[in-house]
Amino acid sequence: MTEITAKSIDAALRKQLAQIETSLEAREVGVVTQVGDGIARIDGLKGAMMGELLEFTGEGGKTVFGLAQNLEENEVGAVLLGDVTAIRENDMVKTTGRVVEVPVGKGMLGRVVNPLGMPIDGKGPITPEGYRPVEFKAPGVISRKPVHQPMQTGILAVDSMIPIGRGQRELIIGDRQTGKTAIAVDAIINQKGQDMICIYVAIGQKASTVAQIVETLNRYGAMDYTIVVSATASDSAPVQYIAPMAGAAMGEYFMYNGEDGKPASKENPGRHVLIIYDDLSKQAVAYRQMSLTLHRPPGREAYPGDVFYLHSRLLERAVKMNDDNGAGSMTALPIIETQAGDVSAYIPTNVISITDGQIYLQTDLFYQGHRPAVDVGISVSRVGGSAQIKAMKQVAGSLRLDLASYRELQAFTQFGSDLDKATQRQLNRGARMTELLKQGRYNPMPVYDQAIAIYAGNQGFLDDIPVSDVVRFRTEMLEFINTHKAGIVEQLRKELKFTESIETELKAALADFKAEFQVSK
Amino acid sequence: MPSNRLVEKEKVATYASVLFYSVFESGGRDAVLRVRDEIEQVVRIIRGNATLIEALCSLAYSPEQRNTMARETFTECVSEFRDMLALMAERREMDLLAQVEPVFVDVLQEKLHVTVVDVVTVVALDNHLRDIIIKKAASELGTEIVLRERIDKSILGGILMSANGKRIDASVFTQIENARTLLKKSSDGGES
Repeated sequence: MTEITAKSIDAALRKQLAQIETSLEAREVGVVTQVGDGIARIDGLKGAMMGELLEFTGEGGKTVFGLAQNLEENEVGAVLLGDVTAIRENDMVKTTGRVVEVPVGKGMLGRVVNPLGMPIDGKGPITPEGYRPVEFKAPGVISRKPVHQPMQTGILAVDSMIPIGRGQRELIIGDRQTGKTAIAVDAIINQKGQDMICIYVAIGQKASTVAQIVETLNRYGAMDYTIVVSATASDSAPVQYIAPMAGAAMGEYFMYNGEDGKPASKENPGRHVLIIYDDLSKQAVAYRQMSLTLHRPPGREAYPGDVFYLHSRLLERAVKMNDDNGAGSMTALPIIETQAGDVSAYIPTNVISITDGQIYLQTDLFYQGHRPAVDVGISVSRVGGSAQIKAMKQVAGSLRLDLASYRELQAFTQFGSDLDKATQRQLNRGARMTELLKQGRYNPMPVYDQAIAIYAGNQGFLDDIPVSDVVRFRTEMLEFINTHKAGIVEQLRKELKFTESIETELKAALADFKAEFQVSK
Repeated sequence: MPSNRLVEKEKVATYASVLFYSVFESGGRDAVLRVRDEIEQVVRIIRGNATLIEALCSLAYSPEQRNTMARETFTECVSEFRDMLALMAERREMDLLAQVEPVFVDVLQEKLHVTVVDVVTVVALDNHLRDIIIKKAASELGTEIVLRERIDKSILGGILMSANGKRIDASVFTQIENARTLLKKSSDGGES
């Protein structure tokens, strides 16, 4: 702890007092003509900018900030970001000449903040290293680079078949209670020691759910490198609307700056960021509410016409920077909740078309015990393939197709019992491979362990193991290899691929383990 | 109710210019300046009173009843302005009044080359200070200046001036408030 002396208090006070601005400038003023539903209509402010921060002086001099949204001929429509009840008709409104900004910096790590960057975890004030605008234009083509580094989630089904690269936008989509948040939280937990900053943006969720997620992240030591931005269901629509953008602004600070807080460059690499938007359907609903109360014309499903642009400009901010710009990245995992599996609704189709692929979670699979309930048939990663490590590519290359043909065969053979040996073998293998992909929560698996597990399946080591024993076989086998044959994993880590010698050694190790494995009775 | 934006704009311009010329004819510059203040007050009253605006635009009353209601509500106003308010109520166009206000001020500035500057202080201005403010404002705005003075103890000290929708706030209250916000925001010595 720093020692507090009279001298240090004096110095701190002098520093702060020096910042007090005594010069005057003319500000445009307007008057609130109408207020309600978190929206204020203002007369005057002819020179207000779109998205400008407006300062409302309410009852008893209370200051509330708002966001200029509709610039009309005779009035300005603004959304209120604070205590709506403090504002009345005839209250004064001033322009500020600024757009909405949030505090950013390393001090935010490990903290739970609201979308305005104010701490809500009771751990005291945050020392920001600067402020960044909530709305920020995504970098252009020249300063980008194709996705090429993997962002491991630690989830076997995802990392093997739907690989995600750093800088990618991968949508997690599914009905309620299918494990969307679980995938996101597991991905955060798996970033420990991976030089990745994580940001979890909770939009329109129950405060108790957010508290539970924070508790889980704390339990697994993931809060040290995570910022939680929380706009719960009790927050106003404008606050829920800016939450993802505020999270993106906090992430951009790390991506655009090096470890020393100075702008990233070739010599000063930018950081890697993983941002989860949980979920964008609720943000769209908040935006719809705002737009309807602002009297913007409703479009499909009553969403405003620019709801696509809302999500596209947010997700464009996820980027892999080129080496000249520090090679930092921001990987986005937006979440969309579907209603009764309807992916053709307005918001799901929009976000599907914006992102670089989607992880689709199925209720049926969830209740059949396939967890994570990833439907590998329609889940896809459009760019992640180039970010997958070679060893994984070697073993998982045909996994998706094999599983797809297994599912097809399985459906077909339900009608008949006479099957030839080849078909039986395929069904046998498929059932075990499907079982192999099951994984518990908060149990991320290192990528080399994943590769070894799939390798064992591909090579037929699971074929004569009862399906109910496959997960236990996988766990014990990996434990055996990591403790007794650690050299194989070490070599794989060094070579990054399955060489002939690694394969020979691994096969021998797997045979040794299998000889000792006891199947359940 | 008019839905065409251009028609509405035209109506607002007509109300403003007719009001200006009729008041100027009968009472000259002082009457025009008085009406400018009255419009401002009436707009504030209407904005803060939903029942009043509802009644003045209600179809439950006949146009004649609305006319009488407006005349009786705004008895203190200059007669030409009162006539206009009565007509607006009769035609259910009271909601245009807020738009008439800036147009009327524009016409006033254009025709009389006068800008009204609202000045708020804690103590009454003396002639010396008044001269300084008028000279400074005239050089900035390039027109003749008419001061509208108001005493408000809540600003604690200093001065607050507003003209043409812009405000210069040199009040002690705002400066203390700014300092308070800054000291509250700075987190030196806080937990890191």
